This record gives sequence, structure tokens and C-alpha cells, in this order.
Amino acid sequence: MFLLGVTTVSPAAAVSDSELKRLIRGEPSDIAKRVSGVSSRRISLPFDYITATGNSDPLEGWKVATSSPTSLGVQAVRELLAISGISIEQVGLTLGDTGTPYQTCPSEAQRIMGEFGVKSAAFDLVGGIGAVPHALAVVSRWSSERLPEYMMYVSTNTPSQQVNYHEDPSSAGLFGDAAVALLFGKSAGDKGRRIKISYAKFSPEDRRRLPVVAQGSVRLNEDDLLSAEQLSNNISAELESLRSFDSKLVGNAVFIAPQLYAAQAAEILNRCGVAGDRIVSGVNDIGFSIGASHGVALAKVWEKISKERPVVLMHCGDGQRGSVVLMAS
Amino acid sequence: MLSILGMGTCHPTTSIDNHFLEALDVGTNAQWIEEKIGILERVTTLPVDYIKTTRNQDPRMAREVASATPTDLGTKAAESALKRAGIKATDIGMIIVNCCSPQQTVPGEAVRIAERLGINVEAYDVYTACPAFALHIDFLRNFGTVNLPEFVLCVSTATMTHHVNYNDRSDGAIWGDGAAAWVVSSRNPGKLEILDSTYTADPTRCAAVVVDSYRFFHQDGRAVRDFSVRQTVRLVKAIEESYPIDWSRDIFIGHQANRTMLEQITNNREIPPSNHWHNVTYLGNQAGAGAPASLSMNWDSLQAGQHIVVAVVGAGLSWGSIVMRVS
Repeated sequence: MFLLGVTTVSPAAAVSDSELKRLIRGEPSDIAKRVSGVSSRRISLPFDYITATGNSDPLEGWKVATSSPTSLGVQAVRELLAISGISIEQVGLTLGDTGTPYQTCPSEAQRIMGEFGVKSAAFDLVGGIGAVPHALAVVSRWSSERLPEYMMYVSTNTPSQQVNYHEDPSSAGLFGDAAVALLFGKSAGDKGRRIKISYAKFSPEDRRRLPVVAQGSVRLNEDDLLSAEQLSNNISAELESLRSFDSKLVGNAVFIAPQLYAAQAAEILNRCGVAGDRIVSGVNDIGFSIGASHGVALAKVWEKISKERPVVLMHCGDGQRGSVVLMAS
Repeated sequence: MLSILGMGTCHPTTSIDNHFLEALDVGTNAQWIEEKIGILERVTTLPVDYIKTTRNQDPRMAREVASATPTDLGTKAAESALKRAGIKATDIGMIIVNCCSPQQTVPGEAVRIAERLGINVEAYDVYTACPAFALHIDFLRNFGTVNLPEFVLCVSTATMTHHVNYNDRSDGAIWGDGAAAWVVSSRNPGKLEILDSTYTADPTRCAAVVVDSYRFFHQDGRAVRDFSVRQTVRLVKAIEESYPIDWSRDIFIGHQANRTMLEQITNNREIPPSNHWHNVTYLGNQAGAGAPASLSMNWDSLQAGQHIVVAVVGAGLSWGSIVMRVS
């Protein structure tokens, strides 16, 4: 399958670092800046609601939210269809992902497709913080005979609606809302650029547990994050694997690092010879949108992908580390 | 060709009978429940005193008092499936899980079960609620034979009673908790050979069956029942037209929604009671675990040459089927 297009959407409301100080109580946390490089986050809750309540009860947050995971996903799909020039009826399979569902049943993919009013196969392929590279790795291993002409993948998350802004300054600084939609096709015809998944490999890592979103409020515990040494070991191992696949790849590719660790990972990549202008963040101006973050970064570099300039999506931090290489065919 | 090498189940030991539900005084009685849905008992991870006193009016409290989580049930079912398959947890190369009542959403249920089993493998959720058995098999077939690890563990687990409003006269009668697991291989022959599978959906009707994340299950009961019977009959008919099904020898397993509905289906297809395997009568509707649990509970009764026909439907609305042959 070829990757034919990517779109991403976020709510319009942005919270800068200085605005964040007015929303939280107590001292701001430096985790979002130091680990992830977040300097602004998009949120779907009204500021006055956060100021008044802190969003201590996410159920109340949902009542006043400007977007839901489903509405963001639908918007991303509409934009994807518009740029791809295909109709929703041509999509034979939709895969969904969310870490912040309003409903645990039906699946997010079914809710999104339900908004379009079409009958077609849909289910969720839930990959957590590495959702996009993981979905690419799964699809790259599928045999095309059993697949429809076109299929979509949508990762959509509204973690801002599950942040307790008064009690948890770390999460308040880190999380933002976004949806990403990817279109796959058996062939591109003349309507799109063909992006081939040239390499996809996931392996176990030495760290498994990263409880980010519980039913209730999100909670980010620094103790659950990879240490700088673990992150460095993971990235070094991935670079070694990539060099084995293609000796020139690391010197040419644009890198989308593990997004929860985007800032720390960029420093490690720099030390390994990857210049800063070849590292793209999906979290710096959106916040960490869980599985959608890799897709936010991918949308930024989509037009620049070429045979000479492939894109590497790296993932680690939840028990699996892996890389996917996208290259114009 | 894929094979199922072993299956396992786990169910809580606390059982609620129809007289208990009648005593809740919410406008139902034991006779009505038996006649309408054919369920006599259902199993739950909730303490009966909790149900009696709170009617589970705040489902967020359910997890505080429950005797087990979906992860607990799923892990035990997985251990049982591994034992039956004759392999160790460390032999597993990939885990996929279906769970419609997760207590955490990131990481997914599959990651938690992998952690409990003590294995570092590719682990992710493949989810559609009740038709999970068909979805998982159909999903794995997309990989072909060379792109799968030697052994894949599939789990469907749910504690749906945590999302039941026990002031509702119908919902309390339907749901039970449970998990089922099955070990699949594309390289090693197993007791069940997968001959065929299907999975699809009609998302235009996704609002017909809903579980709110922090609240209750609710459904358009009549529409869902009509859909379930009609769609299951269509699935079985399609299989009968493509495979040499002989209902005096072969076995039918449907979605364990309720026994009355299943009997409408078996009557339509002239499937004798002896060749219809079900567990809903004494366990309740266990969401995606019900159908595979029925098969697992009859594992030792499988006879060489038998076809096992699974037709499952559910939220989404979605549906699927599996045709297997006992080797």
C-alpha cells in the first residue's frame, strides 16, 4: 500500500506559556519544555471554564468543549478527502485510534464514519503514544490482495479535556489536542504522490509501562518516563538498525523523533550527527496529542518527502521501539 | 493457513440470578427475563451488596469495588490458552486485544496484558466490541503467512457490568463479565484450521449500541435485536452456500447476546440444539468474549472433520464470521 496523503487539525485556541501560568495553580512544571519542547498547546476547553473549575471533572469538561475526538477526526478526514480528490464512498476500510474516547463502544473509527453516513468496514487499531508509526508498520506488513483500493487511518485525541489544570501543572503544560488522517491506496494513479513505506521494524525495549491516560484525568508521572540514558540507548539502537537498512539514510533523512521526548530526542540526534533542520516536531506548537503527534509532524514535512529526502518516524517509550521510513517511490 | 492452537477463558465467580434482579424492584421479574431473553444467571466482578445498595449509579465507583479488572480476566484467559496450546508466554510474538470497558486508555489493554504475562512483544488493541473473534482472525489474515510471528495471542475481555445501570429493567439482565483468549499460528498446525473469515460494518448505525466512557451502556434494543437476528442468519446462509455444512455434524456459535435471539437464528437455519454451542444462559452477554468462550468451553468435545461456524454481530454496527475445520 502507498501513503497518498496526510492532514491534521487542531482546535483554534492556543495556550502560550505565559497564559498557562494563569490557568494553573502553583508552580509551573518544566517537563513539557525540557522533555518534549512544548511552548504552546492547542486546547478545546474555554479559558474561563478552566480558570473557574480547573477541569477537575472531565465529564463537565466534555459539556463545554469546542471539539470532541470524533469531531476533530471528521474534520481531518474531510480535509484529507479534499486534498486527495477521492470520495468517502471510495474508502473501503477505516482504522481509528484514540486515547481519549467519549465512548468506549462503538469504536472511534465507526463513530467517525458514522458522521459521513456511509457503510464500510471500520474498527480501531489502537497504538497509544506511537500510534502513527505503529499503524504504518502494521499496514506495511499487510498483503494487498485482501485490502480495498483505498483505506484511511485516523488518530484523534483531546487530552486537554482530561487535564486537571489546578492540580497537575505537568500535564497542563504538556498536552494539546489534534487529529491526523492518513490515506492509503493500492496505487496512486495521477491524483497523488506515492509514498512508499520502505522500512518498518518494531522491537521490544527495556521499558514497558507509561500510564498517560486513565479513565478520569490524564496523569503524567515523571517516574514513568524514560531516563535520558534509556532514551539515548533506544535512539542509538534505532539509528544502528537504520544504518544497516541503508548506510546513507541517517545522513539524508528528516527525522520525526519519539514525540513525548521530542526535545530530548532532538539533542541526542544532534549528537549523532543529525542537524537540527532535519528534525521535525509535532508537539512544539500543538502540545503532545498522544498518538496524533507523529502525524502532526508528518504533515509539516509531507511535501518535502523525496527519494533523496526520506522521512524517518521513530518511536519508543511504551515497551516497543521502532522506526518507519517513508520515501517517495 | 492460520490455525488456532489453544483457547482459554476466565469468568468471575459471583453470579446474579433473575430473582435477585426481581428483588431490585425496577419493574421486571424472573419469569419476564427468562421468557424475553432466556438468560437465567449472569456473572459479575461487582459485589452483590454494591449492586443492591447503589444500583451502580456512578460507574466510576464500580472499578473501586470490583473483584477483578478486564486486565485480570484477560491475563487469566491468556494463561489458560497458552497452557492448552502447549507453549510458554515467551513463545508469543504479538498480542492483540479487544476491550470495551478499559480502565486506562493509554497504554492499551494489550500492553497491560503483555506486562502481566511478563513478555516484551508487539502489543496493541484491535477493537470492535462484540464481533472481536471474527475481526481478530480476519485482521491476522491480512498479514499473509510470512509477516506474522510464529505465535499470536488474541484476547477479548470486558467487565461490562461496570457500565450497567441496575435501575434499568433490561440492561441489568443482559450483561456478564468475562474474557476469552486464543493462540493463533500461521506456521504450526493446530486443532482448528481457519478456512475463511469475514468482517465489515455499517457505521451509519453506530449510535444503536453505546458505552459512555464514564457512564452507562445503552442501546436501541428492538432495532439491535432485529439487526442481530437478520444479519446472523445472512452470515450463516452465506457460509452454507460456500462450504459443505452438515448441521447433524457441524457446530454453530453465535454472538452471546441472549438465548432467545440465538434460538430464533438456529430455528431459521434448522440447527439442532445439540449442535448449537452457547454459554449466555448462565454467564450473560460477555461482549466480545462470549462466542470464543463458548468454543473454548467445548474444546474437548471437538471432533475431527467437524466444521465450526461462528457468526458474530454487535456494536458499530459490525459483524463477521469464521469457518473452521477440526483437524
